[in-house]
Amino acid sequence: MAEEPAAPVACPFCGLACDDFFDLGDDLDSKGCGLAAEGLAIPAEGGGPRLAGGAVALDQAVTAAAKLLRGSAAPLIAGLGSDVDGLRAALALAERVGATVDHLASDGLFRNLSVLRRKGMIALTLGELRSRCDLLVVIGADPRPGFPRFYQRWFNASLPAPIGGGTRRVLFLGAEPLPETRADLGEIPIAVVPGEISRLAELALGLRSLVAGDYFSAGSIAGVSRNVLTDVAQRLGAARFGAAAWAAEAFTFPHGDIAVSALLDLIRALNRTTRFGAVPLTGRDNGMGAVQVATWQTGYPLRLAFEAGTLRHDPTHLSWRYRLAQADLLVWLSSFRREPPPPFDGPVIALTAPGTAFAAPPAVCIPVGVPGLDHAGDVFRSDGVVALRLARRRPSTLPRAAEVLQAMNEALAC
Amino acid sequence: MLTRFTDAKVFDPLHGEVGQRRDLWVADGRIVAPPPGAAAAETIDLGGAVVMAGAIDLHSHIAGGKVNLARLLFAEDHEHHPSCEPHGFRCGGGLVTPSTFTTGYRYAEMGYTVVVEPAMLASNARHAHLEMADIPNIDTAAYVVLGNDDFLLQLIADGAPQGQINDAIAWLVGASQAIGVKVVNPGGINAFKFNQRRLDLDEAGPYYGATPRRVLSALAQAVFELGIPHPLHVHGCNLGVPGSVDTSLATIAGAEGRPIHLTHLQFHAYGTEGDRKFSSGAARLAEAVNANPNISVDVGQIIFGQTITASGDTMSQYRHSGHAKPGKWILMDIECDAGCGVVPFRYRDKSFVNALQWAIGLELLLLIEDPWRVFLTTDHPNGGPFTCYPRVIRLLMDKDFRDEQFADLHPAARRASILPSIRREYSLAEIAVLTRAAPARILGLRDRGHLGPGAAADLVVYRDQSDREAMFQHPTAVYKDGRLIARDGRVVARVEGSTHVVRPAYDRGIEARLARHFADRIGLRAESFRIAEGELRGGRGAVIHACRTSGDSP
Amino acid sequence: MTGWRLVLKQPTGPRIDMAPVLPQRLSALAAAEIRALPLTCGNRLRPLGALFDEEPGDQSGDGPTLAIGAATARLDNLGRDMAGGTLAVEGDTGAFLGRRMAGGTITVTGSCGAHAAAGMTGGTLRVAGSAGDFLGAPAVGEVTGMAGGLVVIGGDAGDRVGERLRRGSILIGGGAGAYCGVAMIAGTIAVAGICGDGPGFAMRRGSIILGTVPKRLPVGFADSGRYSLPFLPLLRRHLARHAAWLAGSGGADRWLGDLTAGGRGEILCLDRD
Ligand code: SF4
Ligand SMILES: [Zn+2]
Repeated sequence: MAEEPAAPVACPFCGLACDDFFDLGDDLDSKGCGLAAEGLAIPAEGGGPRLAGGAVALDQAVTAAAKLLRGSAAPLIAGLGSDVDGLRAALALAERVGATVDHLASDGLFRNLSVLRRKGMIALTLGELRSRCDLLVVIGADPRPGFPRFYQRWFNASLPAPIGGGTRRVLFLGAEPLPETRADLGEIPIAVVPGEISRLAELALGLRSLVAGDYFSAGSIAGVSRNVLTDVAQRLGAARFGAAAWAAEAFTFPHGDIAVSALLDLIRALNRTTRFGAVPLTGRDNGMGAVQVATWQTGYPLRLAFEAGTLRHDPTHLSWRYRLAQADLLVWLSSFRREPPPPFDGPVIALTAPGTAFAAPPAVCIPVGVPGLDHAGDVFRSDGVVALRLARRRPSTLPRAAEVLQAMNEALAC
Repeated sequence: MLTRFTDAKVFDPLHGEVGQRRDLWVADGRIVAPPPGAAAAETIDLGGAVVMAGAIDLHSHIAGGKVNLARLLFAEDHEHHPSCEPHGFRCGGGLVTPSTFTTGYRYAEMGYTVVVEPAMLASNARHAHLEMADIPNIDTAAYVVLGNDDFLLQLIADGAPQGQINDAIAWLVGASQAIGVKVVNPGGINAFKFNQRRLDLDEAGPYYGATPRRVLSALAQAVFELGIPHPLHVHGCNLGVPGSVDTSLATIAGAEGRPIHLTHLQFHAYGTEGDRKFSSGAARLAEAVNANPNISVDVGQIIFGQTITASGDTMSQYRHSGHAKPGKWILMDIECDAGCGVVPFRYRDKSFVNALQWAIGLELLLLIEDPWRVFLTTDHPNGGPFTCYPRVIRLLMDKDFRDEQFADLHPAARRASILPSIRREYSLAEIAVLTRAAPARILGLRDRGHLGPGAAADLVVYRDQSDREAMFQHPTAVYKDGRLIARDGRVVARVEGSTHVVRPAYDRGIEARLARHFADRIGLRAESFRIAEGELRGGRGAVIHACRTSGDSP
Repeated sequence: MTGWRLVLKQPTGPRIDMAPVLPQRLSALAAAEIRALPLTCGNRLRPLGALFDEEPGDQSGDGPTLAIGAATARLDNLGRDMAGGTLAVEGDTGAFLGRRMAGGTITVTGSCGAHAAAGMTGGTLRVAGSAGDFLGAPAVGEVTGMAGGLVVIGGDAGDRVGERLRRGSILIGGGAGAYCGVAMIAGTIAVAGICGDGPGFAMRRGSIILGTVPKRLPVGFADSGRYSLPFLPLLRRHLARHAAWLAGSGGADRWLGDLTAGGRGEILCLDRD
């Protein structure tokens, strides 16, 4: 068999999972991506496990954690930033101890998911955006800060022309693009339609009726005049393969899911005559991976609880924010970022990237490796379709979160 | 360790055994020849119970993106069907969209030990394999879906020689860790991305100009020439459309003797006769299948009740989205590769169309004579959940039961079906062919589907009952690789399964062009896309099956 | 004996799943059986007797009755799948009160949590105090909200009252939060007090009756003038039997919408009598 070429390595620090620079043996070059630079600055050494601030061996920390878990009547496993193996181990542990499970970024995830589960979705992947899309509509605040290389890699003037021809255009609906975005896009014609983004739901439904030819009487919606709206509707309808991108995490106005629902109505109306799809921008801290693994193992995308041998799912009452007030033990998992646990009234078991600064020393603190830096693993991209293999890229003695969680699980078995 | 199973009533069609009573010997998870003089460490008396090899499902959507989307979309299925297993087995749930653990346990409890996911997208292959690693108690494999990807369509449009097409396909099969190749609505999913809503067999697709017939023949030829044991797995054009029977007949003729497998043929077997312009084409199709030994089919029997359809065929799923029940559906265009559509649906026996679909599936199963070339599937979950297989087996084996069920159908559907006139009842030996020996053979799994020495000790023990549904629903014992995993229809052990693949050889000259395609179009490197052997089944790797080399007969 | 009264021992603590505790079911059980009934409390199973004291309840009714004393927001899923009988709650309840309730009567002297009446298809649910968010709204994945029955809230209700309401009536004596009647398909919602943002947004059919003029309606509503058909007094008389504030013979201003969703529902603003 021929020699395998060196495997490329994907970047684990946002839902785009860039694989174009992150090679083994490369210098720590982050192609001007601030997020990646931040991630790459995480040290490979975490000072070892600690119990209430005092250094201990890993197995002592695991034993102490197991003891806390055994005594807990309402444990919460949250944060949940980990690779697929870490997520599997977290779910297995949750089932053993009867815990609630949720991901740090689930508010944004559930704005999309609740619509997908009630009405469905029409979506497309980043590869389709790159190679087929002739009209990108960016909805709401420019997503670049959370997805720094979104335009650089998936939609700009220097990419090969869309399959089947056509010219790329971009429309920013609701907010101005950042100056860096204009630079990324290059020569692509940019249209901007500012509006009141907290009224996105009305805006999207108004566009829907213009696309579908339904009558309504309002002269403007969310600060956008009817003339401008009519023009936008025409542009949308004229696209051959359109994409509407949004970062639902930024829809922090009340009931952001209703806006997503209205956007779906608009996209459905567009598909009666042309092709159009959503590009959900999510997935930081492998949030899409967490949704995928939880769904295939349990049928439920997070916000689930194992209770007395049963499995329960409740997006309202099992979100980690809501549950914090009811839990008596918090297991906080953040292996991609140095994200400390939220203020919590009870013992905390923290499995965090090395160098995390805590407000108070957790009952149990175990620094874990960063997937993609300290060990291999799998993560899902923002579109939920493409999973990428992360590789180890530096010498490290940090344990994998999966290992640590499994050890806790085994300690509880005996 | 040597185990002796005494007094088994063996159904092993590959070795011509149809109910012979004998002993079976198992050592280290394999069937062995009776070892002269050796003493068994354990002896299990089967008391004349029926024994077959583990059953094999060659087409059931159990893992990967669209399956997980179906689970997400159909939250109700999980609320209504929780499944909490014995301690340590991990809970889950779902009836038509079962979670991974539940999938493995429910299959194992029915005596199935190998299941093939039939629609793994190359771009989603890593996801599919990650899921398969979480399916316990059964072995898995997957067909990779090709023929709507912009890479192959461009090769075809460029008039690339067949050899180059073969190389590309071999690379994709290897990179995605597949056991075979499937084509779904050849060129149609791609055409839908260009906003074309229908594509007939001889209609040139948009942009690339390739007809589905051309795509089909290029792929079928490639699979044949690469020596991949499983023939091209074909989900044809015009799924669900009245008149699709003509497309299917034309597809059979177009194969020109090349082996192809037509999947869920029931959904492509509709004529346009009668007042309602919807009729059974089963008899015509069965005749064509009987006359063409290069053709094999699975049925895609429908089961009345609630299910969900999950398919790569975005073109047809969009067309059917108006019938979604409950009224919600998902559509996705994927990675210059393929697509997916998820639409929940409820089949009703009081609906003329659904009732006739039910009858058409059975007509096909009964009119196709050679049980080595027809397979029992419900296209899970598209026609209904796999847990209904025992009921379908009873329908095949029990004419009275069939007649009873038929009597409940929509009256016009009864008038339109010849089902009551078909007297055939499958024998146990034929069921063993249909569900074991034949699928193993057509997948190239030489050590499965039979009970000869060297075979995996996947054994299923049944109490011979006249109620065949009860008999096949709850085998008294199921062994996977020699280990007892289910007893009386309840799982008793959790074991890891394996994933089966083929690795066709290719000329690496194709890699430069593939690399360019990935860099330009996909925005990832080809090497990111390739799944390493060590990624499978939690690092345990794959079971690799040989491809034919030239000189072997197919 | 037709009924029991269960008195919650501890007002706080892990949440208790009350789904198995139904009037019809309990009326067939003896005291010892009731005490042994396993309930999920937090992540453990506890016998009912560890959480509640039981005593004979109201004997006067003809159907099975069940009273819950000293109830608090710890108690989820009260009256889940209830098909008949009477459930009388003295105090507050947690989430999913009357989930998929098909018949019978539930009364609550205090307030209820979120997702009350989710999937309800029949019967009557009366809450003297206020209701949380998502009253009568669809539960996870469900394509429609409440599909039948009557819900009467004495106080305020939270956000998204009657989301995707399919059939039945929801009457609210106080105000309602944001998106009251969002995407409703049919049925009736009546709110005496002020409504939050977006009433009737994306509604297709059905009626929202408002006792107080809202701050703003979504853009997809068109003023369709005075509503003076004889139907209104009839409807008011009918509904006033359940919620007195609806009594009166005045007319209403009427808006049609949500036109941007292709909808033809109505919002009626009652005249002040
Ligand atoms: S955009 Fe995201 S994936 Fe790409 S380099 Fe930056 S952080 Fe990493
Ligand atoms: Zn299929």
